[in-house]
Amino acid sequence: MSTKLIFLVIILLSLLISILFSLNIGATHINLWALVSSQAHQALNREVVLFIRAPRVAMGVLAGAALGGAGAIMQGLFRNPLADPSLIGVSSGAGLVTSVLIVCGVPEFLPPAYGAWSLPLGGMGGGFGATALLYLFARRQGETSISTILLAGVAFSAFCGALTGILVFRATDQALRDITFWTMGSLVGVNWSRVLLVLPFFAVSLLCTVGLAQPLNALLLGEADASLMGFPVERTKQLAMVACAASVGASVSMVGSIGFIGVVVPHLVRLVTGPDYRWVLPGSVLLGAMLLVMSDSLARIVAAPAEVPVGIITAILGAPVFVWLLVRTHKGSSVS
Amino acid sequence: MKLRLEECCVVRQNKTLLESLYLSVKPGEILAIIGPNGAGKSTLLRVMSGSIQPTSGTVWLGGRNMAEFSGMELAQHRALLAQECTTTARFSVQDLVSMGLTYTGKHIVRKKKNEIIESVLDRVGLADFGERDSTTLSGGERQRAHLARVVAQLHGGVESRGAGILLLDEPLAAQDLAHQKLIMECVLAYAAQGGSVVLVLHDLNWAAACADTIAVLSRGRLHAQGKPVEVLNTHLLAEVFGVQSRNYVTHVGTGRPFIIPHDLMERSSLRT
Repeated sequence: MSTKLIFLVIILLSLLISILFSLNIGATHINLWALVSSQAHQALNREVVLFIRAPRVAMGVLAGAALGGAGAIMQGLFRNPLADPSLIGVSSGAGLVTSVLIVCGVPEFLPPAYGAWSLPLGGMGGGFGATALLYLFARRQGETSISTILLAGVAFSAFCGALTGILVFRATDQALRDITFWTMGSLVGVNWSRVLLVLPFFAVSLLCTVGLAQPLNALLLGEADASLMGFPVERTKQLAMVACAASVGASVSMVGSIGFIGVVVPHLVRLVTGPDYRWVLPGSVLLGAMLLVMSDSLARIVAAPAEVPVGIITAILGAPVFVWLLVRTHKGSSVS
Repeated sequence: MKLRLEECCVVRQNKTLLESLYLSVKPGEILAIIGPNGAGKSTLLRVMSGSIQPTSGTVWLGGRNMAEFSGMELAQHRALLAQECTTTARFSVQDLVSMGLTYTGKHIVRKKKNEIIESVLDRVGLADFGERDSTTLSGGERQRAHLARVVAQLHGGVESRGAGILLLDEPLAAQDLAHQKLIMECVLAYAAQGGSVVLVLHDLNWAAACADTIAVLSRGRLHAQGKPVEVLNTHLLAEVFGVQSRNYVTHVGTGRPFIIPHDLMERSSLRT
């Protein structure tokens, strides 16, 4: 009990430290302490921190939290340790729509004020649309078949991937670079208005997630047993999907698809807390946020002054950790 | 509460799993369901639990159509132990059992909950297993841990509203003799408190020894129903199980039948 609490506190503290760290690094060297102690000639530096670095860090926290939390929820919902938020089609749907918009040159076609918004809004629409489509597809006689979603989700992702491939094939060099950058994920160019835009979706997601921990625990025993014990299984599935689609859809549309956080983070948390979702959910949210903020800092450091897409960092770090987890647990197939 | 099946049929993919069943269990009654593999026993139990709706016919629970109950209401009145409970999640035995109380025991304070968990674990012979990782248990231990979860679920519900219905699908399958006895003692104690118990059993002798009523299911039909002494006889064994041999059934002092393959025993003794 207390070790789990200590663990959560430790992640929370490391999240705060990584936020400060991330605010501190960048092209210009800025002394954060000097900023706080308010000196007139620091005005430019304050602008840099407040309007360039801070929104980026804030988006990193939100997107990381979304991916970690949604990963944990998806693994519980699908009772599958490999499940991640992309399974409900939200990433592939967002990716496809974004690619279409980029290749058709929609951002340039629209007046600049709208053009900047066309990609994130289109991505969001694509993500939500894809999830809704999968959900309707898997619904039969008032029940949602989770295995249908799983299989259809894999097929849907492959299909979207193929369509995106066709677009890439037809794309101009510039469009190609934009698509590539998007599919690898990056926090470049995030500003406060984008952060504000995603906040309502995170609020929805948070509302859905409250009270979801115990039903998700029960779902680990199987849908039949959970419903026999009185758990509202169908509502749990709906809330879980809305929670994941809202938060992941919003963040993916802003920062692109960032891999491996959703898969690896919940497993890392479970190593310490065990399978109880009352601990796994908050742990995954905090650890996901921490890891994405740290990865983004790394993305800015390793090739400075250039930036590496953050998705590359998370995959390079995440994949070996994931293999290590598989080897460590021997069975390789537990959601525990 | 009385549970009553009225003309229940279950059809799945043009296959009739249960055909026009009439069956009832009263409070305090123990009903054993026996029958060959694939006869529809587990399906029948699911219908009685309300988790499968009959294709036609009605399940009545205390005079109300079961289909009208919410999942939460049902959970307070009946609990079902499935044949197999597998999960790879490493819940402790305690956490597993407390899951049964999450919904039905919402009104119960934590201290009382812990008492309930302790007492049901004690009753199924897992008193010192509370902290154990449930995935490291043996098959029999795991089944008893889930039995404890199911009993705890009814504790939560029953406390506020009369006796519940315990539905157990082959609860003795993975147990050694001592624990078979322990579980049957639990069953008898539960019925003595006014609860109803429906068990699917393959060991006809346990059915004969403990059940008030035996229902014999064969190919989705109710072949016979009644007291053990009325139902269990050589004729039935031949007809339902296809066991063609003479003199299976012995009546011991209690007036309850005891079933043993005499001819096999004779053959074995010839070999020695």
